[in-house]
Amino acid sequence: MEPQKIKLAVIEDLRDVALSLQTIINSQPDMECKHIYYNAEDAILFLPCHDADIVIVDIGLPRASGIEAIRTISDKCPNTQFCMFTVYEDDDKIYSSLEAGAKGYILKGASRDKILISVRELYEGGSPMSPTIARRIIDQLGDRPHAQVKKPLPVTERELELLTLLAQGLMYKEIADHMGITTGTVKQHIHKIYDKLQVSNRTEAINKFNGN
Amino acid sequence: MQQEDLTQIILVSFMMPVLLSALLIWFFISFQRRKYRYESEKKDAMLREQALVIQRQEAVQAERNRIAGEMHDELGSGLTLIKYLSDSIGARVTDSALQEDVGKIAGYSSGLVRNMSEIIWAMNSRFDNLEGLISYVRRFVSEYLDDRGIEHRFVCPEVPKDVTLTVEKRRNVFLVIKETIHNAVKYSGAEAFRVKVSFGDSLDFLIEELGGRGFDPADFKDKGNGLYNMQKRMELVGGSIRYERRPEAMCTHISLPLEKQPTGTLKTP
Amino acid sequence: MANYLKWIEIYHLIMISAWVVTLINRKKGDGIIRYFLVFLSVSLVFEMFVSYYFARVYKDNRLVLVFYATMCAAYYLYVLNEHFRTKPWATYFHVISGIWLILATFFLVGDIAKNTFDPLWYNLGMGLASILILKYFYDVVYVDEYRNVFREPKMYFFLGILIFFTSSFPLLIKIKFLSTYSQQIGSTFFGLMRAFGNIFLALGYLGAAICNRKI
Repeated sequence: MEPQKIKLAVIEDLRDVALSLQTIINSQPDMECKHIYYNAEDAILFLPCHDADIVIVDIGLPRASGIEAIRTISDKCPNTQFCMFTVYEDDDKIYSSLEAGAKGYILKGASRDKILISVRELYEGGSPMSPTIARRIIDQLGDRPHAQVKKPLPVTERELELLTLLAQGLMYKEIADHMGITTGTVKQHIHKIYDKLQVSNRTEAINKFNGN
Repeated sequence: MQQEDLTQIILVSFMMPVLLSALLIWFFISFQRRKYRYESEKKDAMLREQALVIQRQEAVQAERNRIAGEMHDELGSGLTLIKYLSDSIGARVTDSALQEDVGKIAGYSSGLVRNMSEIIWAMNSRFDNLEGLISYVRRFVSEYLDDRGIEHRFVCPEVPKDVTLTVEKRRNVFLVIKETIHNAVKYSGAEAFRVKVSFGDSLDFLIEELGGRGFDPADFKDKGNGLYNMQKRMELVGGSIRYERRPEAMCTHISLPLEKQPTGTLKTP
Repeated sequence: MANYLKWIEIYHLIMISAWVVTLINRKKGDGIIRYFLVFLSVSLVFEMFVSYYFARVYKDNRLVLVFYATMCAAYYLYVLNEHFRTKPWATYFHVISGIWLILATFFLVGDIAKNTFDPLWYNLGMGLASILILKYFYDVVYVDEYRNVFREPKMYFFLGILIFFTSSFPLLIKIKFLSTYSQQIGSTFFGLMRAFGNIFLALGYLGAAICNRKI
């Protein structure tokens, strides 16, 4: 019996991009991508039937956006991880998708190798984070005067330190040296922070809905 | 008879001042009330006007963001498509010259995407501060030099909080630093970099190139107007750039005056 | 000389101050009260010299005073006419003031000829002025566009007139009676009222003079 393959799916409206991505993924012995969805509606309908470990989602889709797709599908597929496929790292939409439940992002301009590394990292429970996102999360923690008053995230002191270093523009390697951990652990911390981001956002939405 | 008259007169003499006092009290109270109402109306009108101005500014900003966002999305996905298409062409053709050309197309489109993401960063008002600039520069230096396998150190003290930097300042300073490092890597074959940041009345970047021939502005004169542009950019934001040759390193000083500003935002009287 | 100094009262001094301030500010003033300096000068001459002269020489200055008082009332009405000239009823007010002036002059001449004194026409003129002054205050509070009225010379001027007329009103109604009845009361209670009214009138002038400059 061959080892378990990472099952991927792609939601991307540009056919050529989606096919290239599928080719790159399928060229790897430990990955397979059987399904491509060209819009969010198809994905919402069919994805729950096709069990996938990781779904690579383009943010800008015709009609319903990738963020909406994640919001809908993540309820039905708790074991699926979502990874945004984006042109810009500093896009505000990435933050929204992380709040919706995405656990990472891949830059469209990234090389083939970088894409594959990102996918493996995510599968092993590690996530990337840009300084922009780190800053936004710190802003939300409320230790700044102009922060929006939201429900604060329950981040630990260690996680806060990591966020601060990230926001200062340090690389994962530098942060790992600084905190005396490995790069992998840094990325796992980030993954946990994304979990909290999603939970806090959901709690807030429910509170709002209940008029609390 | 006369006695009655006198009483009447004295009564009237008292009545008149009492009436007058009542009148004056009425006048002062009513006037004060009017004054208060007038002043609160004036204040309301002023606040309304301020709110209107802010609203208008925000509307302009939002519209600008929308246009920029749509343009970037459109161009970004288009350029990505070009990259992926040229990648797949590159994988299919065997002619090495053709492969190289197709690779260039992919490289250029990736470069354009990167430039646009810099513009997005500059436009985003969330980063209108010193921390935003420093972290972006730091990130750029690390990534750029890591990709080329060049040693580097970034030395930066605690960044002062809540120092606002306008779009022009952030963008121009960033581009000048980027250009400086790019030139040093390309033309002088620097082996290592040290970037030191310091804050005082001004924001100072000291970029030291270690090893290599050292970047010489003199023999750069006839190589296009890159240097002139950098000078121009710094002047535009009231800053300066100058070069200094030290025995161990070639140094570039980039300085931008910082305005001390009150931390409060909009003040309403 | 000592006699003359006894003649001088506090309100005279206040009026002199008002005159001096008006004189100093005459170039700076934006002319809210017209001919105010002329009016003050004439008033001072009457108050301090003419009426003293008559009191000394003829032992009776009532006619001088009534002439002077009528002149004052006429000036007040003139200022009010100026102030209300944009109102729709301004014409009626002009006509009424004109009729009053003619009749007051006519009866005044008659009085001088008969050597009697009747304050009726003076009271009528001042009554008219008082009503218009009340209208002025009403306008300030309810009608006009808001303005800081405490910087307006007319406010002090009118206020002084109002207080003066109110305190001297009973005195003027019964002035004949007073002069025949009791010298004592005339010099204590009514004397006090008169001094009170005059001081406020002079203070009104002073206030108007101080405010009558460009701010």
